[in-house]
Amino acid sequence: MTPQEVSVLFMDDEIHDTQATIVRDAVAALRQQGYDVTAVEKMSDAMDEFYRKFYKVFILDIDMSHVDDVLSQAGERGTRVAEDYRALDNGTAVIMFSAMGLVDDWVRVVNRHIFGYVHKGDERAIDRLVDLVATAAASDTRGLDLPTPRRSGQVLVCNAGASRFDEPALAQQVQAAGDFTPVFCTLGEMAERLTQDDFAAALLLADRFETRPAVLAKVDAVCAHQATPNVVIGCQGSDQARASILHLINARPFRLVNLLAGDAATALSEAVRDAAYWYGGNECFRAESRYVHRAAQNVDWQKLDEQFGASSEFDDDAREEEQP
Amino acid sequence: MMSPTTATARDAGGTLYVLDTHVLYEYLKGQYGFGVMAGASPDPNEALRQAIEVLLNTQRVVIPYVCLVEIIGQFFHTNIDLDNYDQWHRLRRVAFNPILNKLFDPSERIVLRTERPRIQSLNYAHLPISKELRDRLTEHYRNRKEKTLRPREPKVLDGMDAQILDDAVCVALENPAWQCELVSMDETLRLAVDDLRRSASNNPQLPKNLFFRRTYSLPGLARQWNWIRSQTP
Repeated sequence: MTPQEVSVLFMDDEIHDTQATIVRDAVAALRQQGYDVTAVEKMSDAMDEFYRKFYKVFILDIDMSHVDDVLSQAGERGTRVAEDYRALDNGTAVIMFSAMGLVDDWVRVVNRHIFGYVHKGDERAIDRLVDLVATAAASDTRGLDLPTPRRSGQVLVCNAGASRFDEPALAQQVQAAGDFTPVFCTLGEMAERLTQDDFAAALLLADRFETRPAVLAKVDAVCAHQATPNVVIGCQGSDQARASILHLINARPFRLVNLLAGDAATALSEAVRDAAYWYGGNECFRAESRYVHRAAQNVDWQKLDEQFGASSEFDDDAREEEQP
Repeated sequence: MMSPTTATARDAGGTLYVLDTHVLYEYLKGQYGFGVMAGASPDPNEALRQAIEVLLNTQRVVIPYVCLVEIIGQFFHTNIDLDNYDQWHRLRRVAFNPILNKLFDPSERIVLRTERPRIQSLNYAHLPISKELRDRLTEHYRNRKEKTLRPREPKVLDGMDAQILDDAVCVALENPAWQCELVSMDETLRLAVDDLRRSASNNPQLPKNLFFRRTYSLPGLARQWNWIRSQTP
């Protein structure tokens, strides 16, 4: 697929702001590569675009407060639009391009399986964005991968430095997820163990993952095994850990659990259960009904009625109720 | 996917519903008011869709894999908009998502049956039909209101029906403590199930716990349906 064949939707509230050079330069860089870029400054416009045209890649900002819009008036942020896009369609790669994301935003979008995250303030942010778009454009749209739900089996666990969880506590959370047996290993062993044995899920925890390339490469190697099994990562969510968390997001784990938020132990159990349930499959999310309804209005139901022949048989064969 | 036995072993003894494809289709169409015709009041199929919703939300249900293949095939590979394909396909995916959301409900009440098809399903469609079934079909078509036959009629197990019937047979055999009901609108499929039940009295390889249930006689629906019919001009 050539860049000219790749449609990119770019949503940013500063798209027309001449002071926002990073946005202007990012759009220019993508167009220079040959991508067909459509820029919108409102969240509602981005939702409308969903029904107008198919975009292979959707790049969006999180803080959308600079432009008046029905969704921003309702207190929504770009995070919500990313979630809606992911719930509506698995075919568009969603990439966050923002300088304002918070821990909650990061966790929300990664758990909806976005394609990537680039921080606007990062060095070489535009180059990273262009590279990520090229990767997304070259990736295949995943089909209907039906999961093979796993309710039992082994879960590979690596505690790479999560201070709140010792081995017995982690074993307890894994067993709370189902009929699962935890198998512990080190981070260095983890990727290799995933190739050697059958695991229903993998769990990797650390308070804060180091950003040394060697460490991050090991995390990437673990996540590369997905979706057999899916990988759950737990870490402490804090703004200071932004660099390592954004790397985790770009490794695309099945779940990212903030170990500092609420009942982290229960969240880990639920994440392991979900990861095992979606073994081998791509997760489907429930979309907001108004958006689904809008898509369904384009479906020619009368033609489908003819194919299934339900209504006419219903009328013809209507009789007194029969109990078997 | 799980076998029905796995899904139902915990509290065996109730009713297990095996769905025909059109039940999935009516459920899909009923989501968020899909397909409801403007000004068509009362909509005779609305009660049907509500009953299917209740069935899927409260009962143990088995969906034969061929039903999923059939509805996906009809939904994504017919009447294709070739000029605007990417967008057409995307909107279809969105509209189809309620089925996927329901299939992957973690409650485990709804099971997609993915076991390999048996050779027996070929036999259902290939072997000569019994004298009793021929007589029932003859009577059925004689009593039909329509003067002309539809395409493919007279028919019994055309298309995916032989496989759906065999899946229902397997589910019944695997779950002897359950009453298994094949839910369908297809009258000739009912005749085939009746014929199979007659044979079951002499053939231990056939289940005695498999029944046919017309979709419009789903629990709670028949009374509502009769009322709607009385209100419809």
